[in-house]
Amino acid sequence: MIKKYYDSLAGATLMLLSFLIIFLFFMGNIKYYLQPLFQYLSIISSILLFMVGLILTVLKKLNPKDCYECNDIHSIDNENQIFIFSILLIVFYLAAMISPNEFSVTVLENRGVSRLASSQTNDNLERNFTQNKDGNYILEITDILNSINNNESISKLNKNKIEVVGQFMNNISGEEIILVRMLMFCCAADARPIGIALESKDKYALNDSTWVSVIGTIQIRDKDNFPVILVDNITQTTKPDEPMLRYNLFNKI
Amino acid sequence: MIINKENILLRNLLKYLNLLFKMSLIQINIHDVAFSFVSIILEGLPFLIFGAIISGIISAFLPSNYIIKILPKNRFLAVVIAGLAGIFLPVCECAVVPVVRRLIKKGLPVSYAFTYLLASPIVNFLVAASTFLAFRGQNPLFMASSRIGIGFAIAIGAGIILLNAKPRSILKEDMFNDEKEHDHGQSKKDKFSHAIRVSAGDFITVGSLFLVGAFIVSILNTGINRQLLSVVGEHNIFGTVSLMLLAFVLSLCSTSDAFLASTFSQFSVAAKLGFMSLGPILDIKLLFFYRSIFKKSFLIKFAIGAFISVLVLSISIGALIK
Repeated sequence: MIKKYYDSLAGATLMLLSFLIIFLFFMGNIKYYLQPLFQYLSIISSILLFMVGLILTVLKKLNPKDCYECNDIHSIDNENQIFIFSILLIVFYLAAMISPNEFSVTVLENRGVSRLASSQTNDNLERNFTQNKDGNYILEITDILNSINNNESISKLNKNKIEVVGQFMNNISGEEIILVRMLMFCCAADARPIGIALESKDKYALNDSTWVSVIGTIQIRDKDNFPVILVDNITQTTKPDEPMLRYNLFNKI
Repeated sequence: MIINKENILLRNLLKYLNLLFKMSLIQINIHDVAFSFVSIILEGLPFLIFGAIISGIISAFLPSNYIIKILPKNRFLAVVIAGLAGIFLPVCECAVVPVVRRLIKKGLPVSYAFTYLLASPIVNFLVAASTFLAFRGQNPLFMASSRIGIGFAIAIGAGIILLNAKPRSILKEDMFNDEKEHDHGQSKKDKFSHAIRVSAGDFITVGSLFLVGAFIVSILNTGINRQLLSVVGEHNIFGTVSLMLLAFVLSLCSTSDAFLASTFSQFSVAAKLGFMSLGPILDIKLLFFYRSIFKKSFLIKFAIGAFISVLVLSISIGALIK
């Protein structure tokens, strides 16, 4: 009796899953999890999944004798399979419900901060840095790391104050204080913290992973040829709309 | 999405769970696990959906044993062609499983199918390009070609070993009795509805395993402190083994793992090659995928064999660059 409805049950389950992904896409939440390319792949595939689910739900009506030889064999006739999949979808739904839009400080510490070489950040070196009303260059951490091997950029940045937003971390990667940002390659799961050392005369009593705006000047350190920010001021700020930076997958391929 | 402030019961429950996990060796934070889990699912689902749809199309429209007819009679040559098929049919590790599952049901010998399964996520243009890009300034051509070479060698080796294996000793029972593949030689409408059913069935079967695998990976991905690896980083063999274990645990996509590998500055070339070569053929997520096709006993043997082979090849190739 129930077997008659297996296709419809499976179809409804698939439509439910596609609804959730479409919802995440249109609510804008998907950007926290994926690179733009994967966001579009997600929405296209969800629409396909929805169509498969819809057709499956109404299949019997459309085509009552779709396979004379094996009608029963081809039905999704394993009730356990649909049941298990539905339970797992509930877990997925709950995870999406409680999921924040960034990792906690535990993950930052567990993954360790890396100071990538310029070739690995892959941002656009030719980008014109924008200045705020005080004349400070507004930068991302990747801009600074990219500038290490670019004399033109470094000399441009050396002459002015810079302003960078990131997460404040104490005593990590052997530095006293460091400014960190997560860099996403394909999805949030593969994101890696990248950071730049801060040198300051003042002590800042801030908790790890507090979002801060740092104003200072860039200097290339002699001992390891890595840039540091000589801090003028650190102020607490709000979390950016997109907490993670993204690796530009197609730039310079 | 952040939970509603009114939902105090759920918030308190999560708080207590986080507290409980803080006391264990792996630092598990429920919110981090949820964030990682959702991102892995969202990244993998499109490929799984495409794979399931291709599987449905193969089942309905590809005549049984057609592939056998177009493959060369020489079995070794056929294995090599299966290994190179990824160049022309690049399918990532999430999409390849439903496709291979269906091809086996359509009569493709296990040895050829397994070669394609292992080769396609690594022997393809996208992986070559991403590896080259990630290693710019670090001998990119050598790293990309070595990685692809190792992947190809292992896929071909595994295919040749399986040439004389009995399918019943490798494949799960339902690979034989589930569908009794046959041609659906009726109207296009019949074939279409058959393709839809198969796509949905494959998606549900493989998708369930993917969800479980992704959940386990999320716990390990966020909870294990990777700084521990730096202790063995400079040792050639221990460093390689530890990065390979990391690849197994993290279960990263083959198009993105090179970016992470290139940041392991304290590790040897061999260790980075091991990390990039093992991940696309063997990790926790893939083991769950593979379980939809293969017997557990076969997977254990394969896992041991693949691990040792990647280790030996990575260290041997790594020695060249010294």
